[in-house]
Amino acid sequence: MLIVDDHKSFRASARLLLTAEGYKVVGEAEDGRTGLSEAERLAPDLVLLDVVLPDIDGFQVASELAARGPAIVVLTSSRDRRDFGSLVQESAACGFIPKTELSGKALDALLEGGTELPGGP
Amino acid sequence: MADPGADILVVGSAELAAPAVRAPLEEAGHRVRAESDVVVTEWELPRLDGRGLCQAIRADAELSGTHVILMTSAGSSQRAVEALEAGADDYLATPFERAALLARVRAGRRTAQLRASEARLRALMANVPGAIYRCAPDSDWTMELISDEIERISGYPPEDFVDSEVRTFASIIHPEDREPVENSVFEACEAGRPFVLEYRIQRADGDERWVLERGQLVHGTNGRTWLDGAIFDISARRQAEIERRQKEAEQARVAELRASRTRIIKATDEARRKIERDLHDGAQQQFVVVAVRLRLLVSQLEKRAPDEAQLAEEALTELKRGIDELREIARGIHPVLLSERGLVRAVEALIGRMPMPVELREAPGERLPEVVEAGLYYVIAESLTNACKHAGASTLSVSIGRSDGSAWAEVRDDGIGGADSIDGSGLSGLADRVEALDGTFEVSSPPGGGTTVRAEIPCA
Repeated sequence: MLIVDDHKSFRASARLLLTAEGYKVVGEAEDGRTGLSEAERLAPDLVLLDVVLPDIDGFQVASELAARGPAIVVLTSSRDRRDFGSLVQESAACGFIPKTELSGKALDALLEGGTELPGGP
Repeated sequence: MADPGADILVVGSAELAAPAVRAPLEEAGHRVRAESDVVVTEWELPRLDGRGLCQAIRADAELSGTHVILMTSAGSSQRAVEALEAGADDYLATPFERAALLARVRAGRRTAQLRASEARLRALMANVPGAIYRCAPDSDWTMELISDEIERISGYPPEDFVDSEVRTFASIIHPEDREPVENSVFEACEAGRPFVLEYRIQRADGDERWVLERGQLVHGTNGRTWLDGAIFDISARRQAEIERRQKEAEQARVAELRASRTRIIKATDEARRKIERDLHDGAQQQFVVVAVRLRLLVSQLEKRAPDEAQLAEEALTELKRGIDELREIARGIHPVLLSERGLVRAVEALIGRMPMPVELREAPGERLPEVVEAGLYYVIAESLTNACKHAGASTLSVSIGRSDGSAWAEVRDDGIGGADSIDGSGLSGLADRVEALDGTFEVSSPPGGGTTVRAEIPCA
């Protein structure tokens, strides 16, 4: 998987946690543009994507990633899903996990339930 | 151009001098008729003698320019004196010579024409809406003549100023303006150009008046010089100018006040946005990282030390509650969607967090100016919160719209109504905010009739 987030300490912590829980983190990116190019280069199965990025909006990155396929996009934020109204639901992402709820289990659950959502593989 | 000849009235008896006067005049090209520049009259007349005729002519303003020649018997200097004293301009002793008669008539005509042109000048001076003057180029502005209008302007009769008889013209110029006036006039004279001045005078009744003076130095014969000019009362114009300037200053002040109120609101919005961003990027991110690490700790302890894992899990739960609270505070300060995605998206998200369903009835597609969006958002947020807490409503709706030159938002519920007046409620701050943007804020809440809050803010 690829982690796209502008906070270095979050990327590091998420990498530690998800690696411990059985995911293989193949790369990190600190903004939307890098995220798109790294996804191109590394071809991950899964992209954990922060909604608010310094350059391109996370929702836009998600739709571009989905258009390129086949990576599954999971949105995350330190904000609440409801802060974004219906944008998460309307987005090309498979789902949303608040950062405070991030774990291997949460990802597993989302991916199992989300394989049939639009934007899935 | 040929001399058209004068109009001459010959007054006398047919038998005596009249034919003798009439014939040579007509032969010289003059017309003998009733309306005349020159009157040639005998002394002895039926009913009215020459003296009476002279007096009558002099008493009549319209005839006052007429040149009167009285015919007297030769050798009677007594009659000649009487004639002149009665108002005649000249006399002609009979018998007379033809050449003398014609010369006298010519001279008389010149005088009459001079008088007529003086009369025209006087009429002109009297009708000009300003005081026409001729004065000496001295510091007193000693008047040779000044027209009657000066009395209307200054309250002093013109005679007062002629030869500075009663007062000098300089004495009625405002003390502060005397020297500048003098300097400007002398400078213009030296440079050989006309002067135009505006200065104050002090009227006889103590009032102050603004006058406009135009004039110039005139060089006469024998090196004599004087100033010819005119003085106009411009107090009304001046007053209008002062009022206009005051009005403009007032308008500028109001505009600045409005602009500064808008700037304050914008600065407040910006500050809120910054606080929210700082909370989110700073403290909240730190806590989120701690939460992720705690979760890592929990997952690593779960198998080896379930009790410690339990402790860490509890700490994580507490931390998440804290993060939620912090997020709630940040959201209350400024909703991130408002600046990122605009009013409608922010309101949609707001509605999603409300404890009861809210219908979003209409909403414009386009973004509005930030300050307008923020103003309407806070009105909607506060009104929805109030309605959910106090109104006991079963339906709640929000409408957002554009009308000509403004944007509006309306929150309507079907609750108990009777909401307190704007004062003292959470709405008063919102009313101030909306009004600071030149908008209107209305609350309609009849008892039992639901509550409608409407805000309208001008925007292009």
